[in-house]
Amino acid sequence: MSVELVLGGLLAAAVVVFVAVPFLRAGEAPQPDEPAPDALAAAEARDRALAELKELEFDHRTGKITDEDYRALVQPLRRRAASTLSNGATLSGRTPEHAPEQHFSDV
Amino acid sequence: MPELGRAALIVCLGLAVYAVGAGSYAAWRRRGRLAESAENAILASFAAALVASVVLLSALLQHDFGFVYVYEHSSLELPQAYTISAFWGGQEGSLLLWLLILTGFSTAAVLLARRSSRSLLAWTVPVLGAVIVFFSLLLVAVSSPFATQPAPADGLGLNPSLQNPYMLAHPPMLYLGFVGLTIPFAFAMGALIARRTDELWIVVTRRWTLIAWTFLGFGQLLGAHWAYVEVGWGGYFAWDPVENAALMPWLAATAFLHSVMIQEKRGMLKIWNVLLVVGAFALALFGTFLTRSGILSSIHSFTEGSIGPWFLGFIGVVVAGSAALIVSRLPLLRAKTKLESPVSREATFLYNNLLLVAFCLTILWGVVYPILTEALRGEPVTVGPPYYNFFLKAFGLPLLLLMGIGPLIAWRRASLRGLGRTFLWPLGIAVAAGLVLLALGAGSSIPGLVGYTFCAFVLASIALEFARGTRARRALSGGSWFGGLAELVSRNRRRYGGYVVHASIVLLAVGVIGSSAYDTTREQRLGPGQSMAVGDYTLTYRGATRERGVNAMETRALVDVERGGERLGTMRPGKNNYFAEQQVSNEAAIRSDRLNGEDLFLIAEQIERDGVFLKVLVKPLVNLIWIAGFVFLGGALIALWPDAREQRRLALRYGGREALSRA
Amino acid sequence: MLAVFLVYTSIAGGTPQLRPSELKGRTGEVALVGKVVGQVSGDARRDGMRFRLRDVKGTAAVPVVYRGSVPDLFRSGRDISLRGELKNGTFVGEPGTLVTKCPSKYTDKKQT
Repeated sequence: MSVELVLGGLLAAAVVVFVAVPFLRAGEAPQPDEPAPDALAAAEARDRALAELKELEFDHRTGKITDEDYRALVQPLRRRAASTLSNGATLSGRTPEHAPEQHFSDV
Repeated sequence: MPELGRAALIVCLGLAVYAVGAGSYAAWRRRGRLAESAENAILASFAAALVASVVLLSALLQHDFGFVYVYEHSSLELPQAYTISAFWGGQEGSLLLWLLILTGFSTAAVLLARRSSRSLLAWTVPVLGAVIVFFSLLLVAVSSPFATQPAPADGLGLNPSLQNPYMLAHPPMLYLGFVGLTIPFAFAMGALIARRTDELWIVVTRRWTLIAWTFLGFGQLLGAHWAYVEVGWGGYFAWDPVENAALMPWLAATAFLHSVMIQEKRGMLKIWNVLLVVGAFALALFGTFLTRSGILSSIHSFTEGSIGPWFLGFIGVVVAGSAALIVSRLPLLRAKTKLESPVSREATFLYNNLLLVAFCLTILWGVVYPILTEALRGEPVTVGPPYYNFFLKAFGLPLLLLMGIGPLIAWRRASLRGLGRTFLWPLGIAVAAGLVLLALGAGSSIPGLVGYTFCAFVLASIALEFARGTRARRALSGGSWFGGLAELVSRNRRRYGGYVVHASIVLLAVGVIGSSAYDTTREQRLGPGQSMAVGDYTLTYRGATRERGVNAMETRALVDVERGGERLGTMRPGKNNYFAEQQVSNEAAIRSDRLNGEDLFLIAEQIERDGVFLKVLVKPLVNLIWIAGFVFLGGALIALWPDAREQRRLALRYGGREALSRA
Repeated sequence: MLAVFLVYTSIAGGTPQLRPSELKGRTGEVALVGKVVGQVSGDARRDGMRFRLRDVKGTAAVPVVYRGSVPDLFRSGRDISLRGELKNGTFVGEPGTLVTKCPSKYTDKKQT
């Protein structure tokens, strides 16, 4: 019975200490370093546009989209991708990693 | 040690309450240290649950019948493996297992998200904490595994029908599935509370959803196999409320898995996705409520307990709270993009979702119908398999077809000219298959024939996807066919893993159709030397044996089996009469034909001195169902396999400057 | 969509599920749920197995005769359900509809 008390007490003490650890540490509180919501939305839009281009390429290559349809669809998509890239760049202060043309040689 | 167990549960409850309170305040006021403290509380709750579990497990292994729970669910002669399974054999222990898995998963989620998505974690922690509060409260106040009594000499033992390997795997696997759905739910709610409009919660929980869904699916297959082989009535699924309880969240999760792909690709369906994830979680809770509360009579019926109202209350809180939250965040969730064409991959995903959800609601309706009619009319009216099977065909067949159509169509707007080309081969193969099957006699069941044709279509479409993709890959980077295939799959694991999973569903469908639309059943009384013909088989009764086994009297009917003049062997269906428990179990005899996947299923209904009442079922293709389970696992594994390239890209997107410098 | 379910369930009809105490004067096919009490006699494979079925929580009982396959867990004291019709004071069960409940796994700790 007393063994139980000791063990139970140890458990309770241990969890209290563990929960208090962040306050016992010296130094600054950890700040999450993440992009602002606008930059995030722009980044997602950019990735989405690039992914669509990739998919279009792939669908064309595997024959799901005919040549004419591909030509019709690819221009608007490229334009959209380019605009999202520049958006993303201005918002996050980073340069785009690579141009849209280079990006989908990677199908 | 019961006091230690009880104390551990109380500690767990306290930690969870702290996680909710401190976590909410920290998220609201952006207090980094307090938030970290709340996260630690979640981690510590796992430690506490672990301590409680160890206490119960060691009590079981030591046969400490001073624990009421150990007394009620185990005995001295119980083999050790089943003593372990007694942990989840009863109400209190199964709740503790749920808590253990819940805190374990929450811990893993917190640790993983700490590195990649700290700010999202802020509001997720209180939600996780709230769920932990509920379950630990149940264990502390309502249904404790640590009740004690003066220790009797021996325990009551485990029901013999539960003493088989399935008992070791099936319940834990289902729990991993049910509880796993909590994580996406918590992150979704966390994102909503924080007013986030990005997809981070989906990215973070994608693997969790897939893992939970896989466990839930495979766990159900295990249950079906258990029913088929051990209970042995000749079937594997009876649309029993408890079976439906696991099927409904699985269907919702399937819909969710697909619709998040649309959100990912096109930014649409945000509201739908949140509703689905809440639905899946709520259905998982509802499922476990059905199983425990005794509110419905079922083959698996468990007696009424006081636990029912608690679950109902919690489900109500979850549903009402989530609904309120969603409504308040509606403007954020409104999509800016619309569906461009009803003939596009998005559209097929949408139809697939509608069908899955419709089927799920059908089952839900069938399950609650008795409750509603009892409340309204005073007597419960139950619906049986015919109702469910009708809708299974009505929704399942179009779903099969969609599985084949989806991969063949492009995103946004399929070019109709291209469609003709891509559809040609799969359609051709399907029609050819249909004609061949018709010639073979499959016309005896129209839904069966249609189902088979659709299956052929889907398989052809999947094979074509792999072939075309490999060809395109090779055109780009050369190499062998195998290398091209490997690289194709490796570059898009989710898609091609998904195709493998689809193939497994087709196998499952073929097995289900074969064994239900084209099966044969016959019952006859045979005297010694008499024969009966069922399908291609001739069965001759030779006599009965009675043998004293270790814990049961085993009675068997000896039946010789012949087919086409060739002697296939002797089958021994019969019964076991257990001495200690005074129970009879059915021991069906199954002969599986390796070549055509067919099963010959024999049940000795009654063995008398001068004859046997035999029930014979011939179930074509039923073994495909079990094979499908393994293909299912394989496909899920491929889809789950981490992709370093994708991880880097996501880290860049969500990680900020710090991640950029790290990447 | 809801309309379809409602229509289907009311037409295809579920079967009302009754306790023995509610059975009096009922005609037509119903599902009967209760506890098997007393001696079980007869042969389900020949003239019919006979037993009495009582309300799970109550005393009202009705005599039952059943022909057809009997699940193994069946015995006196077990809860069962079966479909059939009340004929001349005896409930005649439909073959193949007798279902036993698995002995309870999750019992409330207050019950034994």
